[in-house]
Amino acid sequence: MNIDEILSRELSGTARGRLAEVDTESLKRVARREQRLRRRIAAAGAVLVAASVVTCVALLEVPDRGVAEPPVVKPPTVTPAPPPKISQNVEDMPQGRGSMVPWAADGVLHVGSREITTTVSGLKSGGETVLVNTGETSWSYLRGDQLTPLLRLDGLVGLALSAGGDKIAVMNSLNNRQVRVEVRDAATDAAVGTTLVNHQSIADFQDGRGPRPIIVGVLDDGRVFWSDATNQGWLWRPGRPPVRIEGLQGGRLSDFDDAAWPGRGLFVPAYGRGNTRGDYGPVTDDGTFIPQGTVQTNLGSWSPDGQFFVYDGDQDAVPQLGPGSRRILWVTEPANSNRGARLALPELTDPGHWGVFGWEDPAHVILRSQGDRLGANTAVVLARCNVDSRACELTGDALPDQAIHPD
Amino acid sequence: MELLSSPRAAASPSYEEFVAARSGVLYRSAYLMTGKQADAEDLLQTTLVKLYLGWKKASSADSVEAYARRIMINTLISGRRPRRWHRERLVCELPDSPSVDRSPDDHLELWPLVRRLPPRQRAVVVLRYYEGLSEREIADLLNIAPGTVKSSCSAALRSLRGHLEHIPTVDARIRRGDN
Repeated sequence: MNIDEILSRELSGTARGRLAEVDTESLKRVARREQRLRRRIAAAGAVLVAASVVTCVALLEVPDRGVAEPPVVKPPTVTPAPPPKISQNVEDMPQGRGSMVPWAADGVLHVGSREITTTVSGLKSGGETVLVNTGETSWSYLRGDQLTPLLRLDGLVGLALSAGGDKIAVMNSLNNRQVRVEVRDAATDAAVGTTLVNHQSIADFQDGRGPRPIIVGVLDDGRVFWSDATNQGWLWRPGRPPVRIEGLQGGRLSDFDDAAWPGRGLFVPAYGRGNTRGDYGPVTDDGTFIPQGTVQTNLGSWSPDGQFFVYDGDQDAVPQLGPGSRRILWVTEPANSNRGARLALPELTDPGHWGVFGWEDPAHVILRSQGDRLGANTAVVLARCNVDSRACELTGDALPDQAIHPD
Repeated sequence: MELLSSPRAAASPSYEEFVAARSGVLYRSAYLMTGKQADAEDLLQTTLVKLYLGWKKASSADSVEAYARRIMINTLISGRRPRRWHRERLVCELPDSPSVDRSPDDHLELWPLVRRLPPRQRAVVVLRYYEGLSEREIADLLNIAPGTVKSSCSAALRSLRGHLEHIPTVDARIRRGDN
């Protein structure tokens, strides 16, 4: 046996059976963090170089009359990365691959390149999980190309899917004083945990009076946030008792419909319905809400991991509603700053507008363009934006404007 | 070696598909190139993070896997693996695998010596004797001249033989062979 053979045998034997589990989403998070860090270092470096030049020039210009005061050099400030180029017209945008956000129209469900014939009146998607509302309170999992009905949906009050698609939270009304909240594993539809919520005023919401309980969201680890019929917020981790959310302004949610429970924190609108700013921050396991930042509007879309928030705004990134709105889309990182950065989408001509169609993953949002010169409010063109770099491209998909997409 | 090619066609894999399909292969190479489980995990993570950051370019390359391997080897040779990434373990052995590195010294003769080679020589040896690449392919992958590959490989083998002189059984077997 020669050394070549021994090397081949030993290297193969050593490597054999070694397996790695890779969490792609974690890799992407690390990548985005690294990207931001690089930008900040680059920006700080540029400022330092500029400061050094100023310092040298200042020292050279000091007259020879004693000891000069040392020049004041301001510490480098972090400046955002330069914005990506914005195309003037939709047609000039770069072309990318097709969207992976599911959508349905004319009795056909589209998931990537797959087409499934079915009635669809609503969609939810997260990770690899797609839930299809096939009518009223009937929901099904999409398993391959088959629809598998979810069990125990009688008296359905609310249903939520976690961002990564791992868990489903279902709220059922049992009677006029009791609601059941159940967390299920999306892969098996098996219950992870169940808890009962008692209400004194449950009859009110059933009669259409007063607030109704609502599931604000569920995380991939199974934690559920809901509001009850008295607008109290609750956090529940299966296996433990639910805890009431403390730290909300006034002790209650002002409007549960517009609250959000994205991956890493809770968003609580400051006022009632409509366009209103709100607080954003994590909730501890004992239910304490810790406001971390302010989001200028409740009307927008959170990335699945809760890091980014996309909203409509005017030229100055001020949230804008009504005629002429939704021409420019902005993205913020609420935990770090509420300053908007413009997504590189062309500004559309009124009544053209952009809207969020869905998220492919925490870094990529799919947007729909309607009402531009593309077909008199009938054609929808999809674009993909990287919310970190803000660069955008067309997906090449064309669909009717009544297409149903995940809510 | 089977490379997952991306010939600028509509069938190009997504980043997720590529990671799902090839991270195991890359991890095994990373293990051989670093010689340690923890370092291999770090190297793989660094490689896949860099790949993600450069995915637009990588996905338009003739071979995404070759692109990823180039990142991996450059990272290995440059030795620039940020310390902070050690805090986050994104890869791990499956539960039925040993929780600590195996000690190959008990039953392998050359592997412990390969682990002690300089990074570039180690990479060349792994690519040549584990991946089965030719000198030309290794040269293309490392972006160096074929002559440099040949000299690196010769130096590695010379070093291995030198160490083997202290291992009588292996030395005898090699002397019995063609080398």
